[in-house]
Amino acid sequence: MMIEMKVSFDSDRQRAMEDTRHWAALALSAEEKISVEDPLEMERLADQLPAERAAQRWIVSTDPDEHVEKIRPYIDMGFRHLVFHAPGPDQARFLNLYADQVLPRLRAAFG
Amino acid sequence: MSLRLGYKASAEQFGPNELLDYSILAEQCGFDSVFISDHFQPWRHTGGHAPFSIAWMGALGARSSRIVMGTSVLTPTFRYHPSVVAQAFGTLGAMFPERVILGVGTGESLNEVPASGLAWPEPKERTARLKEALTLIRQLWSEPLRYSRSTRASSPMDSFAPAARRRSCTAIPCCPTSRQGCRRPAAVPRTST
Repeated sequence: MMIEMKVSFDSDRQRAMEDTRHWAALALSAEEKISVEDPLEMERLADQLPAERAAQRWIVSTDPDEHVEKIRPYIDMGFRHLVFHAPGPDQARFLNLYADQVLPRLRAAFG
Repeated sequence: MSLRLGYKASAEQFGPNELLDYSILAEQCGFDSVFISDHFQPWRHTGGHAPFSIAWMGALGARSSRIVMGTSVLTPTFRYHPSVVAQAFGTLGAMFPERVILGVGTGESLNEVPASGLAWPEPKERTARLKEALTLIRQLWSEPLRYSRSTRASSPMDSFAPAARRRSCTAIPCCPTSRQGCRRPAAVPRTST
C-alpha cells in the first residue's frame, strides 16, 4: 500500500511553518473546494484561512527523530510505500535535508 | 515488501523543467520513486503551475535510470477518455518496464470541467465512472487485440466503448484512491493532488 505524506521538515521551524502557506487550499474541506473551477477563487478561499489551519494538514518538524515517530503510525497501518510531499519553494533544500537526516532513519527503523 | 520512499513532484507549484531537475535530484539523493500530480489548472493563480503529467513522465523516464514513477493522482474519466489513458500508460510501461504506476482518483471540477465542458456529476457517479474506467483500462491492457466500432453512446456511462488494444502497450500497476473506503489519517489530504 502506498500513501502520500505531507511533510514540512526543516531545521528552521519558522520556515517549516511558512512553507505550508502555498498549500493552504489543501486545508479547505471537500465541500469547500470540490466545486471550485477557478484558480483565482481557490486562491481567494485558501488565503482566507488562518496560518494554523494551513499548516494543520502537514507533519511540521524540525527534529528528525520526532519526525520519524510521527511517520511511524502510517507504517503501523501497513503502508510500505511512502511518497513525501514538501510544501516549500526550495525543493533542493528539502531533498538534501531529507536524504541526509530522515531517509536513513526511516530505512533503519522500518526498512 | 521492502520499504519504498518516494518524492512528490508538485506540478501545482513548479514549471516542468524545474520539476524535472528536482526529480532527478531526488533519484540522486536516494529516493525510490517520483509521483506527479495531474492538473489542468493550478490550484493558485499566483505562483501556480500545471505541467502536463503524461508528457513530463516521458522526459523523467528518459533522464532517470532507477526510480519508479507514477501519477498521484490522475482522473481517467472526464478530460481523458480511459482508452487514451490506457494507451498513454501502456506506452510509458513499454518504454520504462517495471517503472511506471498509474495512480487514479475521482477528480476535481477545477481540472475536469474547464478542460471538457462537461457538467460536474455527483460523487456517486464519479466513483461509478472511475470503476468503469479501470475495468476498461485493464481490459485494454490484458485482452487479445481486437478492433471494434463503438456505437453512439446513449448515456454518459455508455461512452466508454472498448477500443482497440495497442500492440505496443504493457500492463502496469494501477492504484485507485478513494474518498470513501480508505483510511484517512489527519495529516494526509483527502485526495492526492
